[in-house]
Amino acid sequence: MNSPTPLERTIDQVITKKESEILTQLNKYYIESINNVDSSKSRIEGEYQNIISNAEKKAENLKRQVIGSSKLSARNKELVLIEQAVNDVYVKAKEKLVSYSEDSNYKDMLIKILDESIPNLGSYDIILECLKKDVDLFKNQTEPLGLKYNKKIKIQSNLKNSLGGFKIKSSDGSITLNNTLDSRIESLKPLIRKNIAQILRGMVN
Amino acid sequence: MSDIGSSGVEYTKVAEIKGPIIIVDGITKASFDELVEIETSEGEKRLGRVLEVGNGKAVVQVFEGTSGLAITGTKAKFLGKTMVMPVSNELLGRVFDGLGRPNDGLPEPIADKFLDVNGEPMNPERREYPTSFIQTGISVIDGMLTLVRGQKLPIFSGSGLPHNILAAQIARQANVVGTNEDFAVVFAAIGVQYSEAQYFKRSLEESGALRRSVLFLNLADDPAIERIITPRVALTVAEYLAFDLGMHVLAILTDMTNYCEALREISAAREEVPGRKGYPGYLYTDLANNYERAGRIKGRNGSVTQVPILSMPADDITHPIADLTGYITEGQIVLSRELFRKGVYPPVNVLMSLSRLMKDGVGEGKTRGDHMEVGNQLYDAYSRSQEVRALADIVGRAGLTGVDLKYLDVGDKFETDYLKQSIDENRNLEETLTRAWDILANLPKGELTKIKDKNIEQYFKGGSKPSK
Repeated sequence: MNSPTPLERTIDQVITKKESEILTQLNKYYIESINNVDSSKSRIEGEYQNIISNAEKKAENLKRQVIGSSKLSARNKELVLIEQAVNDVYVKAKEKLVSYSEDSNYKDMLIKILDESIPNLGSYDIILECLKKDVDLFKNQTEPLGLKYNKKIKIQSNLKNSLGGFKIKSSDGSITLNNTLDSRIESLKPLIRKNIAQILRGMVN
Repeated sequence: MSDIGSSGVEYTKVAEIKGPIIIVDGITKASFDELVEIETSEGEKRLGRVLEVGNGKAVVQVFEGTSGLAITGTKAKFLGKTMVMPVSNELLGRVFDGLGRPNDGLPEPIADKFLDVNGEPMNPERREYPTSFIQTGISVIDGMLTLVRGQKLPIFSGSGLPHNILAAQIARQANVVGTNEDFAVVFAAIGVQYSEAQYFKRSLEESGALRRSVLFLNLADDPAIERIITPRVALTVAEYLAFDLGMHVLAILTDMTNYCEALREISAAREEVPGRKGYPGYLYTDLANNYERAGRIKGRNGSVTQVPILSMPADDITHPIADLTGYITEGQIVLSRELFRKGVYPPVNVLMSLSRLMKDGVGEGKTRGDHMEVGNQLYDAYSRSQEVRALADIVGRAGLTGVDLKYLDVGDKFETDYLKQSIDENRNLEETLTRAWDILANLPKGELTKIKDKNIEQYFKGGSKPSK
């Protein structure tokens, strides 16, 4: 067997050196890539945890939001239904009040309110407006009340579309006091609504 | 708002209409602050209240404005009672206008009670000192300017600064921690733009916080005079939720400057002697009447905490509104245009801000033992960093010492990592304090002169090189 020529030896040496260099490099890159994979793994795990925890936070928020808005929406529907029921009760109660003018308390109540109302009109003489059917009821009272307050009281039966009661005006028309049942009920409506709602909710027998 | 009870005496003699005021003649019976229903010749009804009575005349302030009212044909019905707000727990989740009328398409609330919107003054003897923490989820507030239940802590802002975004974020995120007690937010928007009002509403709806909130929205195009009433109805509801239902209520009033403008308008129409910048001489008293409705009452569970927001004209902190507010309230949070321009949100100028009650609401057993000290140390470090920044502008960075450079770094980190947070980022106190310690870790241990050694040992993450 012939010994290798110097050229062949040199080539072998270069090849061996390159081979070892390449192997070293490969080894280095392999270790680097292993490290990279390891560090990426922990980074990815961290990211994964972040994503999961953010998603959990968002899910929790979303849950709160969905539950909150559905509860609110249900409550609001209940409010609308109660309002409808309150209005129905209110209309029926007003219908029933039409017959109240037949009640014996009605006359006493009107006279009492009239007595309390007159001083509000200052020194003016008074025009009293009432339903046609109530004119007789007031006629007997105008004289004593007129004397009591030193005023002339003129009765007019021009009150229409009313459940009852009366309006009094100063003779020049500048001051009016509305004491019709409609007006009184309207101003008490917020209190009446509360009572009706309590009954509807079973809070009052 | 409601006008229950009496049907009232109606007058038709309107002697004069002057700005937001009408003068009714021939009055036989009227009282101060009495509610008045004004009916135009077209049958439109508006509300007002008596400001002055005498010589058969009554001066009536019309909330919806006097536009379209004529001397002839206008009727004024005096209802024989002051303005009341119907209150019940059904108010939560509802939206009202500036006068307390429903604005959400739902019926009038069914009232449990009718409360005078002017409120009843709190007996000073029965006031309880505020000592419990409210978490807003905003680091700079929770960590350094802590809000305490029952406190009144205003936000001083300027036009164009994001105070309304901050207000909405506080409303969404605010909570009492470590207790099962109920928490509610009463939000009064005074003279805000339509888009802002929609933002507040949407923001609370989308976060699910509307269920525990009551909104009062007075828009910029609503009559200015309505603004006088908006904070009053809001605070009336807040008081009811707090002292009748036992809730911890955060009342946010934005923008109190618009409220003061409305006061000035009324005052000018009444030809009163003007005070500073034309505001009435009683501006202080009037503001105090609103702000002093915050607090806690001995023997009752709830609390009313107020965060009034005001925009300072021309960013002038000596302006009468900011000035007088500062006298009444317990500290202030000042927003900075410079930080805003740098893109920092919330742009809180901590060096001009202060929560006077913080010391009583934080610490061991309330928040965390190191809370107050960390807050003070951050304040100190940021203050020093500002001095170093100014110095660096003159001598350049090369002329600074090593410690100076660290402070410079701490100042930058404070703004980017602590102060700055996104508008939907809700940081709990633990996270806030962790961030604070992360920033302080950039300083040598020896610089932490405001913190006790045991807390430094427990929380400090930085090096131990002493300061030079």
